[in-house]
Amino acid sequence: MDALGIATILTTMSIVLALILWLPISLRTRIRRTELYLSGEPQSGFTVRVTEISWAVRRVFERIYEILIGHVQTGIFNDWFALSLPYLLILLLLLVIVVTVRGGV
Amino acid sequence: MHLIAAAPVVLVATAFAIPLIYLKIKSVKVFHAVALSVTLTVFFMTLLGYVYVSQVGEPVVYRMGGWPPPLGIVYEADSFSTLLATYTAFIIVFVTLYSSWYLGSDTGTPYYYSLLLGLEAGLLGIYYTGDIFNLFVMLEVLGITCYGLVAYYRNSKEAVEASIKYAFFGALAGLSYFLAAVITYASFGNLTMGLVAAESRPTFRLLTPFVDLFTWGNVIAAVAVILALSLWTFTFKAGIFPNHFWLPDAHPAAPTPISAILSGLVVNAGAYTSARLLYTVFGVYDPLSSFYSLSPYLGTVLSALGAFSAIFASVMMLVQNDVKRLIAYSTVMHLGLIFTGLSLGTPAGVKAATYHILTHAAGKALLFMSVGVAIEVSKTRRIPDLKAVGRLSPVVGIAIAAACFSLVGLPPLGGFFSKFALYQAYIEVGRFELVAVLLASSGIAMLGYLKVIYPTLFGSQTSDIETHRLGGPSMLLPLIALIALLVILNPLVISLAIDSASRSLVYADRYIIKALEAFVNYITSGG
Amino acid sequence: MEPLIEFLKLIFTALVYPGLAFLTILGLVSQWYRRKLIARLQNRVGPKYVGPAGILQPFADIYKLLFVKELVTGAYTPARLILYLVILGIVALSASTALLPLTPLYIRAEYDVLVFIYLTFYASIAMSLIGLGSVSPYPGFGGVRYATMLLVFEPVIAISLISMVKVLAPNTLSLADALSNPGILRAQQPLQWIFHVATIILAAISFSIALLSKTMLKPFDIPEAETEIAGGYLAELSGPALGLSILLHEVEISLYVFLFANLLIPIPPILPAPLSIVMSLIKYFIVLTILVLVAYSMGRLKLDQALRALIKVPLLLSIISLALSFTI
Repeated sequence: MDALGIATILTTMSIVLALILWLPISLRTRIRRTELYLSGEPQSGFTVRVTEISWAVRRVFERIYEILIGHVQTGIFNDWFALSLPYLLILLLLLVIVVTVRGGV
Repeated sequence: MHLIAAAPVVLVATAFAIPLIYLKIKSVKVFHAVALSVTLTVFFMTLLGYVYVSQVGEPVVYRMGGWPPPLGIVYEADSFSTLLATYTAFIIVFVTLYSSWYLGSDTGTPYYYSLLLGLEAGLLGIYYTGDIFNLFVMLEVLGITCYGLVAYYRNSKEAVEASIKYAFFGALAGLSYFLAAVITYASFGNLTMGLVAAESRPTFRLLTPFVDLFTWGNVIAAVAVILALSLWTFTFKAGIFPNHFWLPDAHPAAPTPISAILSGLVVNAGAYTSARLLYTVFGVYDPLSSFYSLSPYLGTVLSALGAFSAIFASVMMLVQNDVKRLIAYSTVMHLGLIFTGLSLGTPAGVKAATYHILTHAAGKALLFMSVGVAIEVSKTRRIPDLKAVGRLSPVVGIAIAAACFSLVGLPPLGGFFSKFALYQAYIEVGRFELVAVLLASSGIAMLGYLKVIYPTLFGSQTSDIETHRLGGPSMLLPLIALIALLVILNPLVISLAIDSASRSLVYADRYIIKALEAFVNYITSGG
Repeated sequence: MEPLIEFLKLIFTALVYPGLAFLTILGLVSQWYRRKLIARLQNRVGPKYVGPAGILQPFADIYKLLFVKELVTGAYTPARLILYLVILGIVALSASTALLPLTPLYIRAEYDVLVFIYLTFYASIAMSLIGLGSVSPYPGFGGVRYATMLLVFEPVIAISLISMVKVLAPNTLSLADALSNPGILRAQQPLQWIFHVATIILAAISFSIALLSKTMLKPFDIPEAETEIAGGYLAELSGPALGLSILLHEVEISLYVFLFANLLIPIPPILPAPLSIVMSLIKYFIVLTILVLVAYSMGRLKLDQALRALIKVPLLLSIISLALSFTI
């Protein structure tokens, strides 16, 4: 058997086995809901905001994001050209130089 | 094989007929039915084409109007192009079904379908065509319909802005490819892909000396310029790093089904055309071709761009607040991976890239359509404000989770197997940096997908959801079908299809011989 | 008939040995060992009453939690979904042991290290969704912290694992080959040997740092952070969900440390023979001791400090080791 077959079998098996093991446990337990745990503070309807998932990433990569958002992905049309056209020129130059160095037909 | 040529014609004819019918019939439901039945018909036509080509076992040449290759336009369909065409038509059927749920009784519906069918015609034309200039026409058909569809909500400032940006740049890209076509014509004397491919390979020049008559000037320098100009266009279509700008702007503005098509299918056209040009037409990766000396440079440029796109886009995914924008960056990342696969030049690399095109298209279309339900219900695209649709409609929840997990690459979904093939291809040629890039970008992107999964599956805001939008077969059926597709995209099922597709791309001999045959047969039979 | 028997053998492998039952026992025994060790460091006694020297204490804890009939949870927590995710994580880790050559039933294939990496990724996703999915502030902080670290430690673990396996089983990239027939023993020239050892050392450093953060041991225990966010990702769980989450954590630690110990010290290789398994368990406890001693001599980092630390050292080293492993 190759690795792809193994991956298919092992994962399908895990998903099904997990379901089989989950059923009795889930059927046996009742669920009782309480207030959110807030170290004893009253629950005033606040939850974790999903925007905060990446706060640490933003802080650590602050300078990279400054460059990326401030200079690369600005959304301004002219900036696109400033990046895109040099790319075309570099591509052209590179290939033409390759051809002249290596010699044509 | 008339079916191959008929599919785009049927689509274009219906696309033009729909606005005319709208003058008489004002009921929107009719157009939902018409569009669905046409896309379904076209799917079966492409499927028959695929079955035919795989039974014959070699490419099929269709001469438009009976004109032979260098004079007329030909459609040349091999198993690579028919596979992609069939797959595209298949997904568009479900996107059309989903559109009927999404649009409801919107008054712009007829025009929407008119453009949508035009878009499909463009895509199928790109896949089937065997002519370099016809490819330009089809790219423009695809482009123009896309610009129109992105600006479908023409009262929204954002949509018009995105569409104008996209159209401006698209026109420039089209022009660049047009210039490449002109140079091809000047140096190769014709625009048929098969014949240009024969001229690129010295063996064929020996076997069929007449092709040499067409060639003119310094061909290698010309090909260098052609490749530079056309790759610039194709990376624009595919959304590879320096030319990816239109993608994150166009996706949020477009209607959700269009985002699914743009992200899942339209970008594939860029990957397909690059592969076709690099592998079949000029044989940059074919040791028997005269342009083989270009391969290390092009390979380096393409794999560097692809790798940078993957890392850049996954990093940008983390800081998005707009869910569609986040998914758009994920598209940039996956297309980057596809281009790294294509840039290797090995059969394994091409196979992996083809496989990744398929799994990415299914996963991305599914993700857009399922997240589209959440957007529709929450009436916002801001990620923190998305409602927890997954807790009310398990199908939507499973769809979001399955799409994200397939894009991350968790087995037993399709995404794992294509990523596995990519790893194998990288390791085979010893490109450790690409292994690291793939692992790192998947890890970074996982956090981005968690941003989508968290509010839609686990969020607490379920009380004020309008449940009446959360049902109906035209919304659920596409989601279920694409979830099933992600499971079916297992190598046990489709390994053979992908094998034959990538083989017909890497080994272009049959493709060239069929094109030459079409020419020779015409001459010898006296017309 | 034969496929059915093969399949039943696979189920046995996943559920009993070296899968679920074995991993559970190993994990809980090492929890006891870890707690004793930490207690010694902090001048305490540690678990004492249940069983000889308190060795049954972790078993008693899990047993008590598993058979509680009522699951008390937060107002918005989808508890049954979280329960399923946790069980899926445990079962995926157990199933991945079928790739280790511990019994004659083990599976091997080329490139199966990638299967291992992606299969065990289910456990990481379960871990981060336990916290995020609880829809409550403290578990949310825990989940965010885990998911943020996941960004770096998953790639690092995968890269260093691939480079170690690439050195030990250069042609097949199979985990079973790397463990049972390590290629480092076959190295002919001294230069090749130096390259091999350098790769292993670099990969080991990056792997162990990433492992500390994946398993939330001391400098990286920010997702649970008892004193700061009240148990973090576990705060809203109780009963079977809590018990299984703790079990998931222990199983993850023991599986990864077991694998790491045997890749780091490939002599003698593990084979499906009793003596070699005893040897590999000894290696396991040695590595576990070193990891715990190093970990618990440090204080907890802040999240951004942890992320910076993870990027600066392990990510860089793992990429260098990957490069080295490909140059030979």
